Amino acid sequence: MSRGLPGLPAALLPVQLGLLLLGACTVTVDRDGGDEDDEGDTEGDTDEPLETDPDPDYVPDYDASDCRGDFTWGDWTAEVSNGEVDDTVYIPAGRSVQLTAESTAGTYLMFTALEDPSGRVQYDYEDWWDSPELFSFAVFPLSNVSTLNWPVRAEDGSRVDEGNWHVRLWVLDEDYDFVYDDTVTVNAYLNEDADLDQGCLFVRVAYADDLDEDPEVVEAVEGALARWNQVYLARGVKVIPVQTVGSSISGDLPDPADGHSTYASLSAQGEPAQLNLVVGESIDGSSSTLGVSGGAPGAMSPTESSAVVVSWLTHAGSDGAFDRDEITAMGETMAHEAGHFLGLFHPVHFDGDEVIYTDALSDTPTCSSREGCEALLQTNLMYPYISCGPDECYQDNLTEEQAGVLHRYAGVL
Amino acid sequence: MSPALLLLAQLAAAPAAASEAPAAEAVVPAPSETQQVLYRALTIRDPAPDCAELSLLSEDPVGDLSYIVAHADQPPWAAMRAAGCLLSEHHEAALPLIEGWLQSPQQKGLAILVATQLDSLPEPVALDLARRGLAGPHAASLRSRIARSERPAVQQLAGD
Repeated sequence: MSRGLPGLPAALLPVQLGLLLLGACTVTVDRDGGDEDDEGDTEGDTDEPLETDPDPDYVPDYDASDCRGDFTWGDWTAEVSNGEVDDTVYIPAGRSVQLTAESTAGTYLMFTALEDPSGRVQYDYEDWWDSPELFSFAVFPLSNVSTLNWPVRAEDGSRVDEGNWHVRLWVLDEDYDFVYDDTVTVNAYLNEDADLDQGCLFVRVAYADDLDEDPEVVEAVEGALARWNQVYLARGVKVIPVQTVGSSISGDLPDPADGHSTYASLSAQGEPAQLNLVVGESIDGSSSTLGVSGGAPGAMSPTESSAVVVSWLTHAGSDGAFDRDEITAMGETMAHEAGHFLGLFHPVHFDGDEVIYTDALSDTPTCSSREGCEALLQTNLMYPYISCGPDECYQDNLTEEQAGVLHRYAGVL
Repeated sequence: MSPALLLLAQLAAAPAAASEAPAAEAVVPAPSETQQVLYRALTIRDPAPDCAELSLLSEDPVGDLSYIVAHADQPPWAAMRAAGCLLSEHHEAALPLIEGWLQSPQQKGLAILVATQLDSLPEPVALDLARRGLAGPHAASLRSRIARSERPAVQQLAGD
């Protein structure tokens, strides 16, 4: 994501087409499909929120022994009928579930509805389609891969009830007409950890080209990871780098929002509950892009968009050498882009100086102009503009509801 | 005074301070209003600003962007993006400046930026800049990047 807003398809008129819903089938997400446990099961600490001002002496907490989260997963294949998938899925009880659907390349997927075992519609794309609030990219037909994480916000709930859930999707062609005959693969991840105050986000760091052989870049990335750890830990999410790999990925990184086989291969080599962070020199030929998230939310399962990418060069600055402020800035870019991957949007999004979209959270301040928004949001991690003072230049705050979205992401264990 | 203006303005030495500074140091002019506008636009996290649109905000885009390249320390991407815009939109007018980046020991980041953007420039310009880069203080860093050019003539320079 993170390269601007998707263009809403002007030609899509689903309400007027009056399609029949056909082809329901029952599948089960069960423990036999996959079972991952984290190490240890110690009593969790209830730490006080940490001070998030950049601290040169900050020692990151990478201890995974208190990471208690479990997740299970399953997958199934659904047939598309008259452009729609309408399936019944058995889901055990848990904290949150993530569904990632993939259709044939060149088609476009969107989640249209999610109905709980009691028959209550928990998610309906129509609530968000024309809304000035951005809720999830699952609402829009952006590519042949779509990810819906549920619940998203505190007001959406704090658990997934056991039972049969109805999942509905549309599959569209490049003209946004319904695709009448296709197959969709759906991966489901269920997070069973009920704790929404403490969680762990495991990160797999991949260096493009030969960057892992550049000690200065590696040192800066490690410092940036520590900064990301500090920012998220203040809200109870412990960012833990678990693996570092070199790769043959080009230093000019493909845009994960557009999808690329590189990221499918990379993510397939790791574990599902690992966020793939790729460090390169530039992104999609641009020397201006700081970082990009492969989705909002991004997929835990291996897809062509399962990555967050960051450019080291734009953060190193004119001299090409990192100072402490630049390492801090790169860490906050990692945190910002990962925020998108975990389901956060900018609190406000501008067209010029006018606010045209906001996120769907009630505790991110409301504002209507660039000047007004900066006064309220300039230190918020997800605010799209950074405002530097003479001695400080950082964004590290997250509201309680923003933190709630992070904790509800199924990959935060 | 907005934080952006304050950041750039701090680089403008006050008269009293200037009188105490060594005579060889130049006084940095305070940023103009246009430079402030450009600087603010360049600081956005995402999406990255469009260089062509930015250039329309200024009557002297080369001068204004050059100012930001030279004087905007934070965030680091402001100067890098300004340099990128000079390369993509104004490489003819800014050529002496760009050549200077390749020869300045203190501007390795800008030199690498040039090396990664050679394929977006006219080939004669790309070849000249590549030669300058390979003859400059950052040759070791630039060689592998120049070798990745899609233009055989540029690639070949890296192997010489």
